[in-house]
Amino acid sequence: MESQLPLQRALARHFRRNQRWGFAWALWTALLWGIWYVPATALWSEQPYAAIGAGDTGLRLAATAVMTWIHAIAVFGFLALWNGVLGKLPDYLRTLVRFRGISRWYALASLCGGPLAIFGSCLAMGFVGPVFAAVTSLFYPVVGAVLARLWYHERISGRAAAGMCIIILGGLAIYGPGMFGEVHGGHSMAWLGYLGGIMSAIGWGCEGAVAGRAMDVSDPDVGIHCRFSFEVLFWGVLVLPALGWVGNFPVAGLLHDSVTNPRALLWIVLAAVCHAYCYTAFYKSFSLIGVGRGEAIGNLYAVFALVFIALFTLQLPAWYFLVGLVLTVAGSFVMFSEPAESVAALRDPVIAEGPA
Amino acid sequence: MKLPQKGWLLCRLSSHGADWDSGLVAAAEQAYGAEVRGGGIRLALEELASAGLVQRCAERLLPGDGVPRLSFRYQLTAFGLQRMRDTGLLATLPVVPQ
Repeated sequence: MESQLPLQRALARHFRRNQRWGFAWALWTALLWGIWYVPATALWSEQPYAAIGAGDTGLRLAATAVMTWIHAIAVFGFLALWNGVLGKLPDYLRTLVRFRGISRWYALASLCGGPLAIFGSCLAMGFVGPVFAAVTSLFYPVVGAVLARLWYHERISGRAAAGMCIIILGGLAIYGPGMFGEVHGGHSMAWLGYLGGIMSAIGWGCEGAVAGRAMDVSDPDVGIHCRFSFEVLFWGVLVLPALGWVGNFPVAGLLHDSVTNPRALLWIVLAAVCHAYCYTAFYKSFSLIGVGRGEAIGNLYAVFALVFIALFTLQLPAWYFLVGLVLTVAGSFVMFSEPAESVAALRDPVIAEGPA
Repeated sequence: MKLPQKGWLLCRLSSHGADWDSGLVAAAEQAYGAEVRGGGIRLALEELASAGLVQRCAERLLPGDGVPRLSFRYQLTAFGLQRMRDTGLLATLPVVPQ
């Protein structure tokens, strides 16, 4: 019995280390995601986007698609750099070409997280406001956790669920009161922004669950690279040509004006570097602590977004920010307090146990 | 074309049975050469175990540089075999280097 103690201690340390790494990756996701809101919103103040009238809905939508595509290309570049340094580019190519078995899930994740979620978030930011966009995105962990549970039996412990709910309440406390000003701000096409908010919650939630499915048999760093490969293709080969040729929008002109405006390009690059490594951390957290926990901790972006927006606008957040901050931190601790051995098994035992 | 490394690990366990992580790292180094990092293979095995595709059937402490190192023996689960069917990995057996 005594000789087993060092082994038991080593096992306990091992699971705790995995748990800490998983939560650390999820926290990095939240931090970088929060920072992302600053350049992503600032981009709307630069040409050619600033010149688009608030009532010119079609052109704003086309402009959103253009900025999303350029952003996706830049993210792809930063991910290629990351995997190049890690020596994972060969594994990326091997995973990408196995479309039927593996990479089709990353293609689906890309549809959820790209056209659905990022575009939806841009719509919400552009037609209602950045605060509203941040609030509606808060509910994505619920979507992701439920889908992962129903589809491939990811375990959601009571503590994880409680922590997720407390974090969401914290986000609502941070943004809820401020949202009413934006919602009643009176943009005539505000319904597009509301729709965008719902799209972003469903999109990011589904993306996590779908990507989690693919990461059963593929590396997370490779997986996020595959996901953005498909996003670049979807926007560049399908959406933008359709907008340009069928919708008759000046897509080429918007593209040219975006990439030849140094300030717009700077904001896109800054947003992309945040987004690339935010997503890298996001996917890495799924493999260690599951989609539900990874997305829930990722929700702390609500805190970071407000902090960084406040730093850049020099407008202090309202008093209810502190209420939200306490709730989100408390929710995170509730989740983190779960025993490491419980976190280590992400699937239901009836599914996962038993030799082949 | 070689398999993605995580897929290769599943195929290796399916065709050769349970193995210690050190054995799997050595086999992966033989198959993928300089591309493989031991830490990366061990992390991949941890991810597979967390997701239920493999299970840790034994553990031991090995002497390390001052600090004993934990080592696991892994075997494929029924769920892992199902995932291999779902992703077409079973069709690629037994192209796994000895």
